[in-house]
Amino acid sequence: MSSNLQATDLKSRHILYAVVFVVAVVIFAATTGPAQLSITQVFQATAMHLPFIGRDFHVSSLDEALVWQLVMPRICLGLLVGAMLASAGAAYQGIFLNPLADPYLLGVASGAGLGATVILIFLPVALSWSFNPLPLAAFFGATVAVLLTFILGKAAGSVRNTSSLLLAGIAIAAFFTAVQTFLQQRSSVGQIQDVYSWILGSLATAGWSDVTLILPYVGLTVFILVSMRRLLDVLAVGDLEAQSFGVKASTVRNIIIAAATLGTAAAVSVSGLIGFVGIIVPHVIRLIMGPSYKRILPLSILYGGGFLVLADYLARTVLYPEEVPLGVITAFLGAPFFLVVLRASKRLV
Amino acid sequence: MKLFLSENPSMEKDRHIDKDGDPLVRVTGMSAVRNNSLLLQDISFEISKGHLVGLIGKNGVGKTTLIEAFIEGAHRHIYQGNIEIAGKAFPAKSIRESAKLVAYVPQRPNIPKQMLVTDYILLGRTAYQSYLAHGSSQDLAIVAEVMEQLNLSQFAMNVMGELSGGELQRVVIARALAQKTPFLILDEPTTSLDIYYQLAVLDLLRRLCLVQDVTVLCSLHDINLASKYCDRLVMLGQNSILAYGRPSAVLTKENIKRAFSVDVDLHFVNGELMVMPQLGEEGLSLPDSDLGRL
Repeated sequence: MSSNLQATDLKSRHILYAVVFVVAVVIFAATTGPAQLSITQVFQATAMHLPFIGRDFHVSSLDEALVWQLVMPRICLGLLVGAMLASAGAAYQGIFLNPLADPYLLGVASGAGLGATVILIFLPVALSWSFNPLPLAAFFGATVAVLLTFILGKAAGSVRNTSSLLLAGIAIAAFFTAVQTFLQQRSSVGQIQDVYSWILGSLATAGWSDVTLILPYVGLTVFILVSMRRLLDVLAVGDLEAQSFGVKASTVRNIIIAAATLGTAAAVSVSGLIGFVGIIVPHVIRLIMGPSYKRILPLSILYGGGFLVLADYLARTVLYPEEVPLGVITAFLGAPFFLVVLRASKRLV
Repeated sequence: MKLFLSENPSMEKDRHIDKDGDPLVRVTGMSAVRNNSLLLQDISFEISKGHLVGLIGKNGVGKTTLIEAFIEGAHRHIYQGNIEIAGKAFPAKSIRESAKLVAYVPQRPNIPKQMLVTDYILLGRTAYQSYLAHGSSQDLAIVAEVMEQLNLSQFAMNVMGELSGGELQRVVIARALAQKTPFLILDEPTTSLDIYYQLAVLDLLRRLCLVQDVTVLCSLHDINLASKYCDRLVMLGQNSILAYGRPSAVLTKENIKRAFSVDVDLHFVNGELMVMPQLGEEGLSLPDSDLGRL
């Protein structure tokens, strides 16, 4: 009897399903776009650029450029941003013991929004420079906002109280948004549109430079979050009990918040403020796989990436040749899907 | 620390040692302070290996404070003094090492309602697990063993929210046992339980001491149960130890009056000590001045 005892843990088949989903989404998104490329063309064009394979297939240079310069970077960026937002959302939900927490909770979004707005309004010429300062400004704004939230939250409440941090986050977000709205209000209509479309999020301008820009941040963050997944479960019993298990709860919180913020700021800086991914993906996984972060966190990374690539595919195809803002798609797709899952899970319980 | 503590704690005076036993826990000159008020002053005592020691005293005299001294980084209080457990200084070198010396069952544990019972008990193995690896089968074997001992195996796949109060208390104790520490502390483990589960929990603690040589310190409100089950009692008065020793020696009319401000009669029923509060006229025990007049 005792030998049958099973604890909740991530099983290889869970990872397998998620990987199959991601691969299927990637192939689908790469081959069914408006360009009508075949699977072989996509594979050959991609393989030409991969190390160790790098031989020349007979793919026309136009197709090759299309795949390698437009399709692949956009898909890769979608995977990274989706993985980052979903896993950061899961981590924040564990930290704050609050199912409504999302990666933008502590001011990342409003900070990045202000940073981007400053560039779009005061330095629009910068967008045509070879070095684009927009991601940098968004990243800077996001980290400054969260840092301020942290300082304010620590000054207001004790270490063990996460609600003071939450309140500080709301205050900082309101302040940054106010400044951003003020700047936006005083600019021209064209600029307002630029700001607005940045805020709604898009992967339309994705290039390899964006991917390589955020890869180290996302990689580091994902590594830290995955290694902390077990401790997120421990936090559910409160600080004092966690301490008696040998876990310093405040340290765990600080490390996870720092990592999730850094990764989210990087993701947001290249993609804009794509909403809903950070709430919906971890929640669907939670409803199906149970409340343990040993499962939610790793699976959020994979399904988050796949979900965003799928959403981006819709963003560029539904109104082709125009693009729908990615944030609109994620919310439009996410909200009803979420309700269905919520209803289904209620019946199970 | 600039506090109103004596610079040199009186080591020999008031040192409560147990001459018969082999000490597992040694507390020397412990004081605790919070917001400039003194919660414990210069407490010293020893607990022998395999003993079940009850901590009794009025509400607010520092029972929980004394218990939380055994959790590293319980940062609500500032502690001073030395604790030694199984020959090792506490807190140990790291918080993980400390968690291998003492396990703790709080008065009101936070119960994650959605968590599986198995997963919850497995939390007790946290200090033994590495960050990146999967849970080891050895940890799971320990959880299975503890669940069988406490007759919890049938709840393995239940979620915590489905259990009753008495079952939950057993699960929380199982979690502490999974930590495999030589010393176990419990803060009022019987307070919210009916008489059946009170006896069940105390029986369990008693067995752990007898069979597994675990040493237990546990705060209790029921003096009679404390007297029946415990090997030794620590009677806490305002911030310091009033009496320490065998229950029959600690539970005198005078000590109980000093500790609880209550007049009692002592009876012996079949050789067992029974503490009965004295009821005055109209069935009242306490003077009007304690509660105010209706």
